[in-house]
Amino acid sequence: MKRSFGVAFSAMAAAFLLSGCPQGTIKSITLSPSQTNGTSQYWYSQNAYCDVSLPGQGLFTNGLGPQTTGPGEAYSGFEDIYNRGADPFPCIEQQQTLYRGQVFFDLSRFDSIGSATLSFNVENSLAENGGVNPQIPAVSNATTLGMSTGTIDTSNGPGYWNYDNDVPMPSCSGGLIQPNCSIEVISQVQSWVGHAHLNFGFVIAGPILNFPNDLPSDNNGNVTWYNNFQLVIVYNTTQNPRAPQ
Amino acid sequence: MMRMFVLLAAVIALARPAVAASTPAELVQELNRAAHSGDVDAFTAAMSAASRQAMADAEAAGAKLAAARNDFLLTLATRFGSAPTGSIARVPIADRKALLSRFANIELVSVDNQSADHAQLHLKTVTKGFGDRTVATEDTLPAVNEGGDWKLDLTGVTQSVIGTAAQRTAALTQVAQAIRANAFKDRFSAQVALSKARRGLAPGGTSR
Repeated sequence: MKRSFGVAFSAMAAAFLLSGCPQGTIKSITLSPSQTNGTSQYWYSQNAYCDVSLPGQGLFTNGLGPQTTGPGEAYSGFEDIYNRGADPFPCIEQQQTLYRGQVFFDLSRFDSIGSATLSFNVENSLAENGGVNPQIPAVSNATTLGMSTGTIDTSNGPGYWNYDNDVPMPSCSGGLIQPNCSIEVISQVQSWVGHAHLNFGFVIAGPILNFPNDLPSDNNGNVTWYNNFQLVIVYNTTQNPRAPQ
Repeated sequence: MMRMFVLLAAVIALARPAVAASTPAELVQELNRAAHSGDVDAFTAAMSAASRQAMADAEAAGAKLAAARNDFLLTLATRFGSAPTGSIARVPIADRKALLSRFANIELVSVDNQSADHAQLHLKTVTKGFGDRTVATEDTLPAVNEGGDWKLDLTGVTQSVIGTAAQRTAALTQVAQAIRANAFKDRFSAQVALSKARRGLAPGGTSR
């Protein structure tokens, strides 16, 4: 309820500010994302026993592959996997996977905006610490909302990973009232519509942002899936002649 | 039959190390030479015949694991849809030569001769690990004398990895079959099941 009030207050405040303009109509529009993506990177290590026994083919048996995303979903989080192997020739494997999501909105019809609020649902989340436990209600594990700086090459094609101008993500959890998470993004959206920053969308990242110097020897993990992304924009029609009037 | 013999002879000839190892010490020298020069064939040829067969079995197990992983992803996408997902390995194992380059040194510490054809080699192996750091490990590995050439016998090691690959293949196959049988109410439930299987846990508890 507090978040809903925050969104409404922001929209009213923006309308108030924009109402000082001499002409035009103040409008609000809710945009759906043109694309959502998930990208993962994993860093792994295995000892000589794993190498000697399997000299090639890239057979890293650790894990069963990274988590996946469904249509309209983005994820964020991490997973550590540590396998001690079995004596007498333990094949020790360590892996950390970092997950980041990307959400892109088409803002090509806008030139100047009064407010922008990104809303979404915290759909599902996992907590892994020896076991694998769905979190009920789902918890947002992402800590950072960044502006994507473009794509990088991945084994599955282009992926969105790097970002700048990051801000903290709010603490949110799943619930009946949806969308159950929102954050003001006027500075990011204004940068995009004003062409101060190329629009590659938002990147959702964290809680672990970079690989550590030493791979962890644990089986911990926290991954959150987000969906139902919406971008609510308040704008003056006169200042945005290509936007819906 | 003659043709088959010629082919086998050619394969065996190609698989022989450049230098025959008449002693365990020469075997370790050959392993070092092969590793430092990226000579995959020579490195493989320094393994016992049983080890080489186990390696072939391991590669087949790896191919099955990869196929099971692809089938799981396809099944998941067919049942619940999918979105673009990029994936990057930060330490890719590109090929065998790249793997060999991770061996910085293999040192023979001692030899325990158990018979004329069997010995236990105490080896100190230095490998390049995470972040290009070197890691030294000491292990005792069996070696066998095959026709006058000493070979490292890694059959036991390889069988262990084959078992791991088979276990993970079974987990992927099991969860994929459950998806096809509509055992999961949504994508998340299926992923939880796979995450549990990934950790070696029973995948139940999330199906409807």
